[in-house]
Amino acid sequence: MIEIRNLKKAFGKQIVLDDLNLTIKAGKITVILGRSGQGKSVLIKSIIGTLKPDFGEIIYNNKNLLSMKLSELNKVRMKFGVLFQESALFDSMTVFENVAFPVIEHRLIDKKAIKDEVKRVLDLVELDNVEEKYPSELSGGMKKRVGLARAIITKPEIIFFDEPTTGLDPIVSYSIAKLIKDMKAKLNTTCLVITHDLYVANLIADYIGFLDRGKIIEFDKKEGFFNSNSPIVREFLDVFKGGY
Amino acid sequence: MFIFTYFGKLIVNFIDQLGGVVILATKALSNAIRGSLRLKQTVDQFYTIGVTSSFIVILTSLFIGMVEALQIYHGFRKFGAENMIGYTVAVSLGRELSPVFTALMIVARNVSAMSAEIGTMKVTEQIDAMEVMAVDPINYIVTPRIVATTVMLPFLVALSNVAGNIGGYIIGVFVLKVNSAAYIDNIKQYLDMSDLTYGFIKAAVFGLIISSIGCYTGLNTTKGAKGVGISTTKAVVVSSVAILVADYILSAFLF
Repeated sequence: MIEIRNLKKAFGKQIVLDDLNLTIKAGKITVILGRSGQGKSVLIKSIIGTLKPDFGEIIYNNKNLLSMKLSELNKVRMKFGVLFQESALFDSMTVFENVAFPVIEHRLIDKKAIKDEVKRVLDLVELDNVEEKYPSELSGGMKKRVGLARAIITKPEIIFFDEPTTGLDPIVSYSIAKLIKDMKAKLNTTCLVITHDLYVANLIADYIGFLDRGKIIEFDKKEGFFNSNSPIVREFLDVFKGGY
Repeated sequence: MFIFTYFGKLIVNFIDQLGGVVILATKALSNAIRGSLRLKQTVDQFYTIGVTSSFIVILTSLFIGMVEALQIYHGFRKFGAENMIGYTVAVSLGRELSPVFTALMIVARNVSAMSAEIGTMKVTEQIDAMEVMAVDPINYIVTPRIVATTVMLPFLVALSNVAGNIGGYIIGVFVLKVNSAAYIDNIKQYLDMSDLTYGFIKAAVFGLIISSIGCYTGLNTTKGAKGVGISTTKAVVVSSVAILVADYILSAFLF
């Protein structure tokens, strides 16, 4: 579904993505693991077009996203949903306005149906009676759920999750991970999850890739990944086995 | 060698940022001209910049007019030209003081807020979220602010002129005992309409410049809360200096 070829990105002399290759398979949950500062967020930002890589190709439906005009890219973006690390909710808007934002902006559904549609997606993320609240009145977990509701209201083909459980306690992390898995099952979307949380990866992944110093050094089905022979991956997995 | 490198970097940085502000303003204005102006957001900004700033503009202008009348009186008394206070206050307010002080007030009150608000949106990825949802942040956030500031500043300057002249009149007539009829007659006789229109044109230019700077610094915010503080300070300082530089250029070459 998405094929990333020879992606390179440097900030000054610091190389963040170094000839990265990756295939994100349709209808599956792909998790990219890696330690902090290895380029995970830069990878996701490169795919969604908020950061321009120096070199490489990101092929989606046989078209290179990096050579598209903004108007073309925006059409593709309508098929993307993104849950940002800090949720990125508009803090001057209520939950209802946040969730309804993309469908109002692009007039995707009839005005009268917006209220019902917002309620439907909020139900999907297991939130109730929060429409009139502002993001500052929500907990971290609730913000993630609202962010996810906003991401899925446009019925995207692919959803990107940037560190979906960072800053959440283990119980809320578990519920968010479960939500991602349920969401994928209900909506049949492709998911790319960037995280350093092995626990979450183990719960939700179909495929796992390991990002180290700007390269994917291991990529396999979940079961295969956990039997990796790569010393760097093994070191990461052993810490997990040790119960953090 | 070090000095050349230092000043070289400063100049390159200045040109880079100036170019950024000009490009942003051009994009925002072309959005407005193409008719893709967002009505709701623009009306909100008209209200924020125009209506909610009126009181502070009136208050400061009233005192500016009062102080000016006092100062001019001390000079003009030596020549027996006290009756000219009214005209002098009116012309200096219309051409210089109202546009400059009103713009400085808007910098302190609105441009700083613009920079902080947009900067916070930037560092919390709200701008990225907007882009990913295929909504142009310049069209949604920047254009309404630039259009509203450019349009509202001349109206605020008109208010400032009225308030300043009332302040001057109060001090001139009631405190300094200048003849009321002479005070007003001199304004009517000598004040040219162009004295006021120059001020309005200046105000519109200042509005365009300061709002573009405020939005540009906000959009280029990095490094979290500290970065928002830096951007806000930068917006206020650069806008204030830009008003004075633009004021000189407009006064010297255009009027």
